[in-house]
Amino acid sequence: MAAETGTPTTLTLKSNDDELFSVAESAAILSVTIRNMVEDGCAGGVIPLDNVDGKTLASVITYMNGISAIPADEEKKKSYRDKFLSDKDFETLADMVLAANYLNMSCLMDAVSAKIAQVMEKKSVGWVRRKFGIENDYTPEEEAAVKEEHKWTFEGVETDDDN
Amino acid sequence: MATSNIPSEIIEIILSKLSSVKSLLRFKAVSKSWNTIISDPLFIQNHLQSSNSSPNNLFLSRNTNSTDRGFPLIKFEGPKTKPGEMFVENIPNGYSVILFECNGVLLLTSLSDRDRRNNRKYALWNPSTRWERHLETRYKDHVVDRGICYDKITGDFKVVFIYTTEYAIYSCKYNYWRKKKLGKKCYGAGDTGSGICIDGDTTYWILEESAKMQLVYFDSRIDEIKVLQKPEQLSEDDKYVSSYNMACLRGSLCLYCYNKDEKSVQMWIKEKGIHTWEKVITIGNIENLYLWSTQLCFVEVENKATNYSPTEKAVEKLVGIDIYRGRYVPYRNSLYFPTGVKTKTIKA
Repeated sequence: MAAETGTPTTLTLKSNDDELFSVAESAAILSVTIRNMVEDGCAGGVIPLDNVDGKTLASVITYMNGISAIPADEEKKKSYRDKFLSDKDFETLADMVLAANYLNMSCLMDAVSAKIAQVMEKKSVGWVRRKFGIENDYTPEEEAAVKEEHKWTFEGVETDDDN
Repeated sequence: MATSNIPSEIIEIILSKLSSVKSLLRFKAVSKSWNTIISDPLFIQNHLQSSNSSPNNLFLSRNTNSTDRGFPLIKFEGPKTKPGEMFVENIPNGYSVILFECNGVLLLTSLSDRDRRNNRKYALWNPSTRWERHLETRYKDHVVDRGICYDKITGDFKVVFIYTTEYAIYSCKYNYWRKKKLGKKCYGAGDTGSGICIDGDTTYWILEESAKMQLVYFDSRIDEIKVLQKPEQLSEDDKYVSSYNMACLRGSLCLYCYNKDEKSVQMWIKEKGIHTWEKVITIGNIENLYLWSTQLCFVEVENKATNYSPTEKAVEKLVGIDIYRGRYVPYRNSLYFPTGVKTKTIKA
């Protein structure tokens, strides 16, 4: 357990591209991964986060600070999360969902995955493949058959030429 | 540009939060592994749970009211209902009445007098996926009530028909019919039936036996209809009580009824898993209420619920309320459909 010191403890987090970040322990332990490290006594030195780059970690820390400053009010927390994610593009959201998963932050994980789902709703199959980096492993015949089965779901899809 | 490779466990989490069933069906064409995720029964269950936990407050009217546009879709917002211009279209041909809802799957019948009397032709339909399946009962008996039930353990959908002294079960997965004795003589309550499915897997009905109200439920594991004990107070007050109805409140069975003597609506909730009732509330000063026919709904406002009926004012605050059953059935974003059967897509 972290020692009771009276002054707020600060942790130093290190991204996989060697950027260092200072963050209040009380905010950082929103991440179960970090909390476990703190409880195991690793808090003294630098905490290396091998799966998160500096850009994403900076964003996650902004979220940690923002959300922990809000008292126990689920409505306000929700609107903070909505606002925090509102201007993020798909690539950023994808990096964040991986980071939230690695850091074991369930509230951020839920919010980011719901946001990605919302972004996907009107998108085409081609858009999804490109953005998620998925290889089409259907034969042309198989793909045609799958599409034919749910033909109506291809109506009203956004045109495919956006980013 | 291809982004980071998101592992399939995370893709599954993201997809379970995609409420639009239309989008999910489209994304089956992304790749074989996406098709596998979206078709997986466990994913379908998680997706429905996720949709249920953020309710869309959408309800389907049980009747097309002879419009050819489909079933009217109503949004409950606060103590106001918005009839609006929304309709759920592409109904299986000739069917215009919703008898039952379970996990987003509807049991439909046709309105025509001849079909009603014979009561032998039905359709199962999921409006979100537009899958339909037709069903013709083997038995010519007079149908007292019916319902659908999903068996989480076997993944089977069962359709139950209650006749005056017997009941029949149809298994969608194994395509079998089974008929059993009720052990009593029962009568139905209302045109579109009394049944309600709670938590997707237990179906309850209100029947009438020797002029007394009787609660029964279907145990899908052993394919049997059993009696459910009424709240104690109800058995005592029986002669004053009329207009029973059921609702699903926060995933639990709720029974409510009108007490003619006290002019009040009383409400009980059955605890999950066990057969005990808890009295929730009594709402007084309600004149002339027929819970079968009056549009009564329970709407949650700021973590409290208001009992509201268009003919009455908002009467009293209640503790959290969820889904109403009566003239409407919930409209859920659901990928459920009886498995192991051929489905047919409807022509638009």
